Amino acid sequence: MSCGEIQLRIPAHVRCLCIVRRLIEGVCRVVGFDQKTTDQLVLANEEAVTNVIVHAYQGTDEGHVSITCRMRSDGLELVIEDQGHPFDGDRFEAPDPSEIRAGGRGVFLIREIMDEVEYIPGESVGTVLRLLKRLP
Amino acid sequence: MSAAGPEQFEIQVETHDNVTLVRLTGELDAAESSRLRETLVGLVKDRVERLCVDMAGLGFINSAGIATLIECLQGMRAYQGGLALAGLNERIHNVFEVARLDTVFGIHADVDAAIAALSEDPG
Repeated sequence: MSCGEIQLRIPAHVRCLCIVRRLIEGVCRVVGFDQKTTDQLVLANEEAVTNVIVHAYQGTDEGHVSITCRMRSDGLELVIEDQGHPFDGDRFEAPDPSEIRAGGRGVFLIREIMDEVEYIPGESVGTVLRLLKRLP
Repeated sequence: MSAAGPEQFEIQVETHDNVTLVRLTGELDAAESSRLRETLVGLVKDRVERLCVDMAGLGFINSAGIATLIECLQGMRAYQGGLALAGLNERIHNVFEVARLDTVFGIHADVDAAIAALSEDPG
C-alpha cells in the first residue's frame, strides 16, 4: 500500500491507550512491518501518547490527543498532536540508560525505536511530534 | 471501559516455596501501573525476601511498568532481598532489551527456574 492516512482523536486519558495500541497494530499490518517491528512501534507510539497525557495535560483528563498514521510506500509516519503544555523534545536529555532509575525512559525508547523523531511547536499551543519508521 | 478481555490487566499474589509470586496477566500500561506499584510497594514494605514476578501472561509493558519494577528492585536491594522476573515472551523481553535493562534484572524462562535461582542466591 503506497498511501493512506488514518486519524484518531482520543480524550487525554490513560484509559484510552488500549484503543491506540489496537490502531497501531492494525496500521503496521497494512504497511507490512514484521511482528517485532510492530511491537516496537506500538510501544514507541504508546510512550509518546502517554507523555502527552501525563505531561502536556498533566494528567488532568482535559484535552485531546490526535494520532495520525500516514501509511507510505517506504514506511509509516506517526504524528501525535496536542494543545497542552509545550514540550521541547529536541532539548530534552533522556537519562543515561545504564543508570538504574525508575523514570524518564519514554523519550529514550522513542528515539531508540524510530528512524526519525521531530518535535515541532504547535501553532499557538501544544506540540506536534512526528515519528518515522522506514520499512527495511 | 469495564468489559474484560485478553488485555485486561490482573495481578495475583501467592506464596510458593518461601517465594512470593506475583502473577501478571493482560496489558500493563500507564492506566494500570499504579495498581502494580501499590502491590509491589506493599511487598517491599513487608520486606519479602524472595519475589518472583511471573510475566508469562503479560501481553504488553511500557516504561511506566518497567519503572515500577525498577523501583521494586531498588527497594529490595536495600535489604538484600531477591527479585526475579519469569516467563517473558519475545515481545516483553524485547522491551527490556531496547531499554537496556535485560541484564539488570534476573530474567528466567519460567517460574520454576526463577524460584530455583532465588533459592540459591536470594539477593
